[in-house]
Amino acid sequence: MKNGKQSRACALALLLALSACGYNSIQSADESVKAAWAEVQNQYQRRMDLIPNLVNTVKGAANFEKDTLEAVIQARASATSVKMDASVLDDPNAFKKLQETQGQLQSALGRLLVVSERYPELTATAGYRDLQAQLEGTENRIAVARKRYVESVADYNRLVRSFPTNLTARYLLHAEVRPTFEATAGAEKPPEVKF
Amino acid sequence: MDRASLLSPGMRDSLERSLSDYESRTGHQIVVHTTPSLEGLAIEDYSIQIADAWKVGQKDLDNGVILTVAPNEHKLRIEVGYGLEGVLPDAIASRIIRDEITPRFRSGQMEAGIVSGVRAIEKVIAGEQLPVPPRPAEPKLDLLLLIWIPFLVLLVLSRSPLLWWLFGWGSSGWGRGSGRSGSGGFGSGGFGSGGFGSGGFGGFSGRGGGFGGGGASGSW
Repeated sequence: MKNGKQSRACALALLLALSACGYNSIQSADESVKAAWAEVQNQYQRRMDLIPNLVNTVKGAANFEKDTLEAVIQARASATSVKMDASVLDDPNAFKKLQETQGQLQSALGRLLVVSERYPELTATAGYRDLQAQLEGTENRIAVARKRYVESVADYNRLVRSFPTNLTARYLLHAEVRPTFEATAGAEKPPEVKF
Repeated sequence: MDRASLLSPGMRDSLERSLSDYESRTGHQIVVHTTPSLEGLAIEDYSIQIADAWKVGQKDLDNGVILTVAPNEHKLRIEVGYGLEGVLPDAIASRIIRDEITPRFRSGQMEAGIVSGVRAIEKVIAGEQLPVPPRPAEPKLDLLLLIWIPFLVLLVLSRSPLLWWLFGWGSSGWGRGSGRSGSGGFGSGGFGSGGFGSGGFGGFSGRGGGFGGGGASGSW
C-alpha cells in the first residue's frame, strides 16, 4: 500500500544516506592514511639506506670507535628486520616495535655523529659533510612525514569515532582506530652534533 | 617577502623582478622569505609551515624552493620541493649555504648573501628542464559547472514525489558526506594561511607545489 511503500522508500533512503555519508569519507580518509604512511616508510627506508655509506666513511678515519660503529650496524640490522608496511597500522604491537627500533637507530646514529666530531680530519672532508647534510635532511623528512601521518590519522580516527560515521565504520567497514606516533623521549630532536 | 627588512627597497624590487622572470622562463618558483622572529620554532618547522601554507611551485611538478632567513636567530634554511630534490639534494643545498651565503652573512653582507644564494640556487635547478607553467584553467571549470548544475536540477525535479521524499531525508546525509580532501598542514599550532598571508611579494602566489622536508639549514 502507499504508506508501506513510502515508509520503505524512506527507510532505504535513510540507510543509503547514512552509509553514503560515512562510507566514502572513511574510505578516502583511509587512503590518505595509507598514503601518508607510505611516505613515512619511504623516509625510514631512506635513512637506513644512508647508513652503510656513513659507517664506511667513518670507519676509514675513526677505526678506534668500533663500539659506536657496531651499535649503529646492529641497530640498523634490527630495524630492517621489523616490518614497516601498511599492515603495521592494524597491529598496535607491530607499530610499537617499529617505533622502538627506529628510535634506537636514531640514538645510535646520533652517538656516531657526536663521536665523529672528535676526528676533525674526517669531519672536514667534503664527503663526510655531504653525508651529514643528507642525514639531517632525512631526519627532517622523517619528521615532516610523521607529522603529516599524524594529521591524516587524526582525520581518519575522528571519522571512525564520531557519530554517525562510527556506525558505518563499525558495522559496514570493520574499520578501527589507527595508531599514531607517541613522542618517545628525546625523539623530537634530530641527532644534534655538540662539541 | 622581506619582513625583516634585510633588503633595500631597490634590491627587493630587482630581486622580485628577476625571480618572477626566472619563473616565467623555467617554471620553477623560488621565494625568499626573511623574518624578524622564528616565533619559538626551529627553523625547519617554520620553513615547512611556510611551504605548506604558500605551496610554492607548480602543483604536479612541486618545483618550488624557499630561502628563509631569520637574522635575529642567525638561522637560515633552503627548503626544496619534492620535484627539485633530485637536482638540488640536501648536500648541494648545504654547500650553497656554507660556501655562498654564510660567509657573506658573517661579514654582515646580508643582501649580497641572499642574492648570491639565490643565484646559486637558480644555476643548480636550471639544469632541470620542466614545462613552463600553463595558463590557469579557470574558465573551463566554470563551464563544466554551468552544464552540470541545471542538469542535476532538472533530474531532481523531473522525478516523482518519491525523490522529493528521499531528498528530504537524504540532504542531511549528503551534506555530511561532502569530501574532506586531506587538509593537513594548515592551522596546526596556531598558524594558518592567515598568519603568513600570500602576496606582499609582488603579486606572487603559490601554484600548489608540495614539499617533503628536503633541503638544508645553516647558521652564522
